Amino acid sequence: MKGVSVFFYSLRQGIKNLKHNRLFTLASIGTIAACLFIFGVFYSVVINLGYMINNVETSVGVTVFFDEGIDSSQIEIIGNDIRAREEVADVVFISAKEAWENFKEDVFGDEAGELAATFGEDNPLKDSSSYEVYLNDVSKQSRLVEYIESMPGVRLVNSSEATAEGLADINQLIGYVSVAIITMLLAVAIFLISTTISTGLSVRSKEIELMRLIGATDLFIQLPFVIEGIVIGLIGVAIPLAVLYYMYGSIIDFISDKFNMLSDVLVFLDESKVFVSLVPVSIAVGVGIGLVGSIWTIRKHMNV
Amino acid sequence: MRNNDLPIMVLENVSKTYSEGVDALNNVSLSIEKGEFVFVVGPSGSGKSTLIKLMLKELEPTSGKLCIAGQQLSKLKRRQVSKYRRNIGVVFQNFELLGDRNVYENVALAQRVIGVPKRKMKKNISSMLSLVGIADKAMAFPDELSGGERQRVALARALVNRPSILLADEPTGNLDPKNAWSIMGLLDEVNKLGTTVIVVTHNPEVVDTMQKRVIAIKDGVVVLDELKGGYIYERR
Repeated sequence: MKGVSVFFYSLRQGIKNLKHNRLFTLASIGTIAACLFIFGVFYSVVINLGYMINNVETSVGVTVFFDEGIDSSQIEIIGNDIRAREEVADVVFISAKEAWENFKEDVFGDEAGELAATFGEDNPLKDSSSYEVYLNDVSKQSRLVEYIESMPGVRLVNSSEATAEGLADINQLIGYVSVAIITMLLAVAIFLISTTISTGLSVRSKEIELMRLIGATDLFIQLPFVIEGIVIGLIGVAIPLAVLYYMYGSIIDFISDKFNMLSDVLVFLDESKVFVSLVPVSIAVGVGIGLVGSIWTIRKHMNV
Repeated sequence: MRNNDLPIMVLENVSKTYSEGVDALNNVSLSIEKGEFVFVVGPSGSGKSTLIKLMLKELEPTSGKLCIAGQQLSKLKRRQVSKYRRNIGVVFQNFELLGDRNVYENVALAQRVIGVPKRKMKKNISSMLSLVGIADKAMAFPDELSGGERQRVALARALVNRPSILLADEPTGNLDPKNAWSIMGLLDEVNKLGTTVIVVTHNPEVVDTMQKRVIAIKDGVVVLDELKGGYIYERR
């Protein structure tokens, strides 16, 4: 009961401080909002890119061709060995017949039947049975290719090294840039919250001194300022989350319309899937900034 | 007013030298009994304010020992200091009221600090405002009150938690004679109810008239300690 009344008293005082230092409060909220907006944008980009790369990873495969004259039991052993690798998601066997059928369809298109008829029953790709190997992580492709190439009975391994590494590199680069920008913005936000709390502390220095003399505990004195920091953090979170939520769908629709040629690659996550993790992460960051900023300032000014 | 119980305040060879090398108190020893009314007098810079700050544990003595309300102050940990101070009411010369809060809220601050429930707080504040004679001003803000009324609010705030010691630092310094006497009357009344009252003052008329114990300090040294003294600090 005592704790509850102290909490509500501190809450009222904290809100009073916010109103008292309107300008600094707005500046702090604005900075946190900008910081978390950018964070949200990068987070959405990174999480969507990850999703797209994951999609591409399951479609970009490694093709394994065998030595001429190899028998089916040896092919099966190779397949089992590849399947046992941790980076392998799936292994699909393409027989020579299937390979020829696929080739005809890809190269001759609608006229496949007519043009391919000239080959009669011959299969020009009779030694081209293969495994299509799909990875669960493209960044490990080169390691897998190296392993498969060293296997007895393997004649050729086709892979698109550039695609795999490029995708992984882009994702990593965006991750690094995001971390750098967000770190800088967080530092600015903490500085501004600290300035807001400092102003509050100096405005209320007489009251703080008085409270000390009449027996207030450190917690009783500090709590309004900590609450002030948390409230700034929470408001600073709510604004960008609301804006991002309304923007997300529109931006995805826009990109999908403009780049519909790339519709196979540009597959986006639903709002719900992005926000289910973005909301708690943003709240934790916003409240964290508020807490760190206020506690750091209180400790600095009040010699706690 | 002395009784046979243990003294409520004992200072043994207390000295305080500030970092600039100023000796504020020099080997001060004194003892104050429970329920006493004591005037501390002396010229400006004599060490009176330092004494008050040491009693409130705002300052640490350079040497010596202070035992107040059964606690040896040097042994109090940081988190125990707030609890210790709750046993001491303080009244300042310039009232130290919060301008953005009304009389009720100013007094309530002391109760909130110790976590008194709302209903009990209301009752305590109401009876304390009646005791100091400003029950009708509960909703007024400090700038709507006279100096005397402000000091009454400060007194109500100092007493609402029922401290065993009341420290008043120049309580009449900013008041006209009529209000000064009224405040001193209240302090006397509070003392008669059992609170130990220590008043630092520059007001010779009050000290001479009330005939209470007088401790005179000059240049950081206790130069006089009389049970029914007057405003004299030149004698040794």
